[in-house]
Amino acid sequence: MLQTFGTFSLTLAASSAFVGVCLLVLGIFRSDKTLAAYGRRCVWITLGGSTASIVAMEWALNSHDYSINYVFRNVANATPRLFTITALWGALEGSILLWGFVLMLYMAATALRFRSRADDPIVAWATVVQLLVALFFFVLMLGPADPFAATGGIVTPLDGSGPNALLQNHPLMAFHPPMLYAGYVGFTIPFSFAIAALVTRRFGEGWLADTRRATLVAWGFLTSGIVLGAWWSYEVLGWGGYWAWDPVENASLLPWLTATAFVHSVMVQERRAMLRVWNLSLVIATFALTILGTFLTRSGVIDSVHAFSESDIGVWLLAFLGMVVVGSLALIAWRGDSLRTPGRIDSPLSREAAFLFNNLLFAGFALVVLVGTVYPLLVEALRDQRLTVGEPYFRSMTTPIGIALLFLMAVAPVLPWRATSTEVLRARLLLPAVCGVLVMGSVVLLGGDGIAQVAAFGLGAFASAGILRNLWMSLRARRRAHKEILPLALVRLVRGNPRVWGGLVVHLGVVAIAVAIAASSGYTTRVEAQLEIDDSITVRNYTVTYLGSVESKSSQKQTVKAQLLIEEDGEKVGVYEPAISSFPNARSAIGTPSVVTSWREDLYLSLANSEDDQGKIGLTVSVNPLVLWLWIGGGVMAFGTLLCLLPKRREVLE
Amino acid sequence: MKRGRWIVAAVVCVGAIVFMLTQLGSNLDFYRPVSEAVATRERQGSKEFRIGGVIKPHTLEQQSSATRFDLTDGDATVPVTLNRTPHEIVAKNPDACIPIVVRGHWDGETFVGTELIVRHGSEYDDEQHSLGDARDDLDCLVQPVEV
Repeated sequence: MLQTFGTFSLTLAASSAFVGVCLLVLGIFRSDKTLAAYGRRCVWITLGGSTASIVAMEWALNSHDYSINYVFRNVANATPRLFTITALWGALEGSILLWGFVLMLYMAATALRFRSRADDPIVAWATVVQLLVALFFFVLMLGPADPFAATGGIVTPLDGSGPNALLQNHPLMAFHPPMLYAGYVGFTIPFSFAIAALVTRRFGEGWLADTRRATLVAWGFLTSGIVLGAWWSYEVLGWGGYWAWDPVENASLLPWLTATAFVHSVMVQERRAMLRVWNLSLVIATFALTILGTFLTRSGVIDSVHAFSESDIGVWLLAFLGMVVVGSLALIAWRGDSLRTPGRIDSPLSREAAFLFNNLLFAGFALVVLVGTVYPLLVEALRDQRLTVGEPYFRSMTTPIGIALLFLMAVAPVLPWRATSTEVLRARLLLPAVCGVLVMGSVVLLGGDGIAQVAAFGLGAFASAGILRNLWMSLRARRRAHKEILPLALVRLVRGNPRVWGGLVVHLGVVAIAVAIAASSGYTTRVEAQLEIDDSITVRNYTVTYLGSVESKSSQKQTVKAQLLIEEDGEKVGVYEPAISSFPNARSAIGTPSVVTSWREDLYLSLANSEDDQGKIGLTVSVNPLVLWLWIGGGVMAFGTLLCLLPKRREVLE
Repeated sequence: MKRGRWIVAAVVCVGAIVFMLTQLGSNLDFYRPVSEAVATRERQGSKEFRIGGVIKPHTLEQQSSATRFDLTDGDATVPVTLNRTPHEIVAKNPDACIPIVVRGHWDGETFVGTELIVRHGSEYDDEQHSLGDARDDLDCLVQPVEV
């Protein structure tokens, strides 16, 4: 029943997307507003079909309808409710289903926003592009990634095999993937407007203004999704880190890098009408990289290039990626002549020059990650040799780029447009630079080493001091002029130019993250130990004593918890319990680390193995400094993005 | 003036790309199934790489500081010494066929491992996670191990 209903909803969504494309294109060419209006209505029908398919799948998951193969493979009777709901995005077919739904939500929001300008050709063409993307994904779901495929066999199974053990271990699983999708999918909107701008020859700044919000929303979701993913990795995987330059992680970072370049370079085009081709290319690259990311994570190609041919989905995604890239490049080439702009950069010490350097660095960063991620696939495909690119490659390449970006982040926001004088620079940069140098000095005095780490601390201080100085000066000027109390002045200041202040708040979040990465990558202490009951181990100023193990069993999993007494400088902190769970359905063991978190550092406890024949547990203890600031920084970045989205309030002069 | 700037930019770009490729070349981390590792043993010397296979049932021995076992892919078998306690799933199921990857190097005909990674289904190993549906359990001695 649900199966039929689900397949019907998907068919409805796909066919209305197809009809919508045809009607809109016909409407545009014949200048027939009625046809185009019918075409636009198809967006709502597609949204309806997509919503119905999501409802059908959730219904099937929660009622354990094992006649649907996806349900059978991804939930079991014993799976807790939360993870039954999240099973929707636990595997390929379901996540494509969610992808389609999120896309339809974005499209519906765009349709509402532009309802008064619906006949504007740029909006109409953008809708066509969006519907084409939707059509691709719905056809994918009707073909190679059918979420409602039957389980097969004569008898419907009584119990399912349950989700991947890793996916039912932590509530973050409920938030991380949807956030990431909301980020990935959102870039369809700026992409569609970029293509529409090329088709309609309106390369001006209009399409940028039209898609500013959608881009920021997508960027904010993608940023949060990446940070949550790192957090999940840290809290669940138990290897002590949060980022391993794994292809799956890189897949989410790649579009983030080009999108971040874009949100910066947009400002140059808005202000100086330069970098038009570059901006179009960045948007197209971002969209293409989200498709590449989906291909990398969802086709099985990472496990083995040869696994890729086992399912059709890889071929489909690769073909779609090829169409997007070739089609977009052809459009840009076709419009090439009229894209040229007369503007030029007057001085290397100007805001636009800083944005240009920022963009080159982000593009370089993306290239480095792309090469490191795709190279192993190419080698395996061409030479049948399996390899991975080691972390040192990524670290040695991205550290200098990251440091250079931090430097730009400290300097660029105070640079005026066009050109500047040394007096202005001195006035604006001297104090922050002194702060940076002082912090660097203190880090070295406190025993910090490593050029990159010390530089990151110093530049972080430089950047944040610059932002705070800027805020302080603006507040002071405002309070003098308007005689306002401080909180009111702050609110009005931000409301007066939310984009600038929101951006600076995002920068503060980046500083927190940069400092946390520098500290945790450079100053971590890690010790592995074998402990019997009552054995202790001391790591820095923490003492860890093994008290004994507790076993618990549920139908879902069997868990062994090691009870560890933690003392800091001789004072009792508490008993912490890192665990290992075995999942009978998945024949795998998953460690659950236990983390003692503080502002200054984390004590990270991870059980390598439970008691062996000699009664010893294997324990990994590490002290990771400042990790909490990664998650705080992520929150600050999300908050800053929200500020950017506030409408600008014009003040009424009294 | 303008030409000079272009030359500088070109030199910087070429330099950066050369640096990137050198870094890439020196950080390649090869994976070889047991039989391929055996076939190329001479060439490997003591270079580090990852070897993949399953632990041959009934060969796992735990000594005070090391673990020994035979690693096989059905075609070839290699004795492995691991200088640490094995992963939980290996320690608790010494006789099950568990697909694993060991990082290490050749020492004569023995493979000396420094790190053991357990493959969970086909989707996950200890340090590198990927989301997705786990493939059915591998019947390791019948099917070759995919990594």
